[in-house]
Amino acid sequence: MNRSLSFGLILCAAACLCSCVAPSQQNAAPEAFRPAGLHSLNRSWMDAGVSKQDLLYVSDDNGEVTVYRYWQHTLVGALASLTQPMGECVDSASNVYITDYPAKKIFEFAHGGTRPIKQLDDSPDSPYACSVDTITGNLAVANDDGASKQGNIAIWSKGSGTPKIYGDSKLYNFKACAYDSAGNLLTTNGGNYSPPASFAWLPKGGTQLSDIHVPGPNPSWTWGAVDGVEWDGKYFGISFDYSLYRVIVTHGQAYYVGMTSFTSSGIRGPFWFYNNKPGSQATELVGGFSGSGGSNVYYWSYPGGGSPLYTLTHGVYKPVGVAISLRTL
Amino acid sequence: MWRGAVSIALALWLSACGGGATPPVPPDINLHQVRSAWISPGFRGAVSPLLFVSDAGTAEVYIYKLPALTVVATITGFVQPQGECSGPKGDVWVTDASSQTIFELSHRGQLDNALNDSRGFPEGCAWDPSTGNLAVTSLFGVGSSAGNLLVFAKSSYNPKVYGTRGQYYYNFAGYDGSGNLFFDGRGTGGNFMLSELSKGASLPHALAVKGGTIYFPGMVQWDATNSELIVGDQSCGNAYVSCLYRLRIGAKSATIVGHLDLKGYSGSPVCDMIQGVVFNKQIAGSDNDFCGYTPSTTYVWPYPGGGSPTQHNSTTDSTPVGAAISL
Repeated sequence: MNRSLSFGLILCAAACLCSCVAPSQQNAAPEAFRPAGLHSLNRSWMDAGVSKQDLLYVSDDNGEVTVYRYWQHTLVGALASLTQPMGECVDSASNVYITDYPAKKIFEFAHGGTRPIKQLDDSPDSPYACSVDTITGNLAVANDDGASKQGNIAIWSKGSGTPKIYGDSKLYNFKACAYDSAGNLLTTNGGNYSPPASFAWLPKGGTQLSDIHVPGPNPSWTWGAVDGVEWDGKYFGISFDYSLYRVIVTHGQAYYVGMTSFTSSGIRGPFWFYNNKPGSQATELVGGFSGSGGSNVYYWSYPGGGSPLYTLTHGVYKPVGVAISLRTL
Repeated sequence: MWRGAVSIALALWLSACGGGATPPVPPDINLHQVRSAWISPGFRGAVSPLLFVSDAGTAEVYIYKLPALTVVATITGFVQPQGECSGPKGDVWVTDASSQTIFELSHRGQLDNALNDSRGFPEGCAWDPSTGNLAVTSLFGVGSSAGNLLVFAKSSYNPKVYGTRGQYYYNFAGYDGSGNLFFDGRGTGGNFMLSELSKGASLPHALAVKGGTIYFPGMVQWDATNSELIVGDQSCGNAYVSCLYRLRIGAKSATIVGHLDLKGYSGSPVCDMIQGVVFNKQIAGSDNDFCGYTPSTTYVWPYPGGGSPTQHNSTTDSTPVGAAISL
């Protein structure tokens, strides 16, 4: 396993030296930046026995998905068959969906599996992030089709078939989405300070996205560049400006609840909640981060925040998606 | 007493600094932002009745002339206006969740006063005709804590705080003619709750709802004619449909004795009327139509019949929430 990783890193380093092109920022559309030949080699691997482990999946900007034992922080696998993995999400059976942005596909992997058990064609759209309604199994995909083409939310009923498409001219593109435990979906275009992020809500069984105002910690609050939206089991969490903000959305209205602050670098990138008790609020949070000091995935206590419980660096390269798949046995 | 202009309250407070009687504590809030942004040239404020509708989507309050539902004024400067209630002199209180403030507007839409809710995010209100007290429901508290019921005694800025055991969300409230207060909300498990703070009681108590199921708390208003409590359900039948129930109140329970369906102008069910108001054998309120049947619309329906609306205005609302009648 380590030989494969080393090989990948050597290729990555070689690619860096040749191109020296780095993504301009977190959540930017991925550039054509990955170790040449890795896709064709498809050197995916996974340790045996990981089905009994909680697993952390990290989409890296070098085209790999690195997989870790969540509690031990050890690298146990890598998925190398995707063009450029982006956002991830997990269904109630712990299967992991991984969006492949340039390939315009979404791949589903069994917990600890190395080969996709399903692939969904998202063309002509470009999948950026996803969320699974754990009650119905519906898969929502946030499509970001770039400045010249309006994106949408695509929903595959039970994760298969042909998706229903939901557009919103105000949001235009979609960079994050999350289902709550009742099957309502919150989504955002991410924003970029000017204009700030906008949000929309799709009620369970709804036929259209409704634009909603999401308040923040003070009356004059505006969201700048939102990095992600996830459901913590009780509230929606919105990552913005290195902090995590909690809101409730009910009957088309959002209310600000509170926030979590972090020491160290905070959240600036993809994040996911660790929650092994359905109906309860998550107890930990992982967040990807990349900066001049390198690439990390931080573990934090939640909702307490503060200093990281652990900093994962091994095999992490500019993370663009994270998810936790709970053990299946 | 609250109707004294804010400037007067501040003047009293300032004069008290020089040594005098203890003044009421002025609210520590920014008041200047709420103002009439547009008033119809023909609106003199003497028209009665007027319907005030708060809109959380535009952060504005619209004043409609009845019965035509013509907009005669727009009040701006709110952040997240929510439920409304009114007093006998034409004044209307508007709760604002995000600014944690309850604004008092005159019949003409001018800001008369404001109260602060530092504990939580105000959602609904009710005015007590027997005492002049104002009750405010805080949906939930600061720091993810449970909400509260606040009762501001007449001319006081410092409320008494009440809570019902097991209740987390506090939505809407209504007084009967004797000073008993009813309010709805949800428990920690998301279950609907209806409570009563009896006149003079030190604690509220939950009322068991019998004869049916209410899923998501909506408006609460006393129907003095029939001695019944009107309670809205924003998720009638556990769907995104709004309806109203009529309940007979007992010592420890409330029994559903009637049910009103509300239809939109297209014939579809009303998606989400959050807080309407019953007056003069009519119901006025707005449908926050995230279901996509029609644009969000303000309606007048017959009461107690319900059904199809007699009037509607579908050109103004974005995310309408609360309604109050100003006489």
